[in-house]
Amino acid sequence: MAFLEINKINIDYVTEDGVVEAVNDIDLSLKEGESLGLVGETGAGKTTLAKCIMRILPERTARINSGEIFYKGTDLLKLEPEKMREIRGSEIAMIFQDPMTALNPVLTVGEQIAEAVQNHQKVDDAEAMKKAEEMLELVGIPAARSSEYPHQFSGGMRQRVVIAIALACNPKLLIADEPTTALDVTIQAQVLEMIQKLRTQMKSSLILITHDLGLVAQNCESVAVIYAGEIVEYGTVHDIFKDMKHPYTVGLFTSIPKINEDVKRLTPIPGNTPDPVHLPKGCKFCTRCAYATEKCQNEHPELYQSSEGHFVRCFLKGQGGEKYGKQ
Amino acid sequence: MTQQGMKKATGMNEYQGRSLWGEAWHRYKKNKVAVAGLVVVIALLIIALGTIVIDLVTHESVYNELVLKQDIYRKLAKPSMQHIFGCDEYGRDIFFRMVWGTRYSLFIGVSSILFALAIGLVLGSIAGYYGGKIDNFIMRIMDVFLSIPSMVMAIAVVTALGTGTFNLVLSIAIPQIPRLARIVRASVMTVRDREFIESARAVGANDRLIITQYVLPNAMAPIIVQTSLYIGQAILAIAGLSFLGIGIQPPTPEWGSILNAARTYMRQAWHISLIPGLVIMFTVLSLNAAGDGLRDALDPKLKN
Repeated sequence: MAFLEINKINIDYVTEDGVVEAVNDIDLSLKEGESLGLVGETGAGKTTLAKCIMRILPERTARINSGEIFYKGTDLLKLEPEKMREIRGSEIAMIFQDPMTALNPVLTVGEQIAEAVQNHQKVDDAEAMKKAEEMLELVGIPAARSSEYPHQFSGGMRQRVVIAIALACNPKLLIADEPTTALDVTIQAQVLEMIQKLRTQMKSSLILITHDLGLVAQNCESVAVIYAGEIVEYGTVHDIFKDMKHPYTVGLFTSIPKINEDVKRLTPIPGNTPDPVHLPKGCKFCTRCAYATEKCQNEHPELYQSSEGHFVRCFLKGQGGEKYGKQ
Repeated sequence: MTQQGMKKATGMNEYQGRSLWGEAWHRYKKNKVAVAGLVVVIALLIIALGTIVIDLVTHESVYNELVLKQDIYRKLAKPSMQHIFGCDEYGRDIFFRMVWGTRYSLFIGVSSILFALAIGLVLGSIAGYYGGKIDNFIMRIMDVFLSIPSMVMAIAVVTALGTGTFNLVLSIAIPQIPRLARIVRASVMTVRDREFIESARAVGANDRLIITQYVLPNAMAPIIVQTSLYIGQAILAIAGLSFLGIGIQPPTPEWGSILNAARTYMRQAWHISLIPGLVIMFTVLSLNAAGDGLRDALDPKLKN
């Protein structure tokens, strides 16, 4: 049995403008200790999927239409709220995107970490505080600063605090939602190095959500490329980086500069992501794809296995990608 | 130099160990107006408690002598060395009547608003945090209460339950519950969708913890200020009810009833209206200043 298995999950947001299909039929599985990268543009549904695993989607607007999420054999979506609350933080934890807003401004950082501990372990305040100080030391913040408030920390330090909170109960699965987007490059490297180090120490699995392909290459074993709420390509890091098949994946790679090639101009993907209220009927990428045929516009492609463990959602079955890259 | 260094070092340690309220007090001290307001409020509290102690010790003989005893020769006497605020229409010393009256305004005003706040906090935070049907259910009931003018509601409560201190507290508290619930709800709603609430849920915090530790402390600032304003209003409401004859009964020296009795003599003896008016005004002003200062002091963004 897989450690985490996501089956045909569908999530909509009900808004005033209509129903936004944020996540469509996503299948994923994760082995224990594995790290998976979720790559895609803003609004592709990466964060929605992560919040769905944690079951912290906004109840007023989000609607999970169908699908199952099995974690160690139990369907998280069918769990009672209290059971799910026990899993959050202790089994599955999440690192949030923006450390500036993810911390409670009226509690000291020590109290916040201690609270995360006390949510799951019956320990008294002093003991929880001791654990909080240990966690702070672990992420490289002096324990003496545990009595300070979030606003007294810099952005990078706050992200460390957020990580300390997430790791306080040794979670088996860590979901990092763009953990470095709000940080500058030098701090990014430090934070990721730290996540990696702590992850190997605690032997936890990782889902890394990012739009930075470099991060994925360094930190993940497998990659899922998400476009308009669908997985368009899935495979190992090697599959995706060296043998990309989907025109969108190819487009992503041609739009970042390479250090070893002399390119005058980068080739961006034309157009924008489709309006999520009015998604194209056929292939979601057909409006921007250089190879789109009539079939692409009318029929929805299924995932096609091009090699062992490497899936592509394209009628061209990987034949067109290379041409696109050479353009 | 070393001594100074030592001092600085210990100062740092003190700073590190300070609690949220210790921090708040440190900042509160810097606001002169708020400190002045607080001093006045504490002085009034001491006066109110002092008179209660005097009454207990002397079995109200001092009270009867200074506050209730009438003297027709001193009727409407102007302020003088013997009677610094002058005397009222029955020749009673206004200074002592004001001093003994402090407890009614202050304790009934504060306790009625705290009572209303306790209920308003629970209703407002549940409505604001959960939203949807629960919100609608609670707030529509609150709207029904809001549609009745507060004075009419207070009269209705006193008429139904009878006069008496506890009933007076209830009659002033009940009309304020929907107002406080609305403020709490609005304030909670602005905090509810902030990301740190989501991150608290993500580490497995339950709703009770999220509301008490994450939502309410961050929503408290407008609630505190409004509460201090409402205490002022409640003091005025007690005076209003006394005027209508259903509040504190004469000859008890309640500020509002002194002010209302003085109305008839405004042309002959201005001081009887001026003194209670000024005292009520300064009390309300001090409460507002203290509330404002508290809000600033509790805002962590203004720290240091």
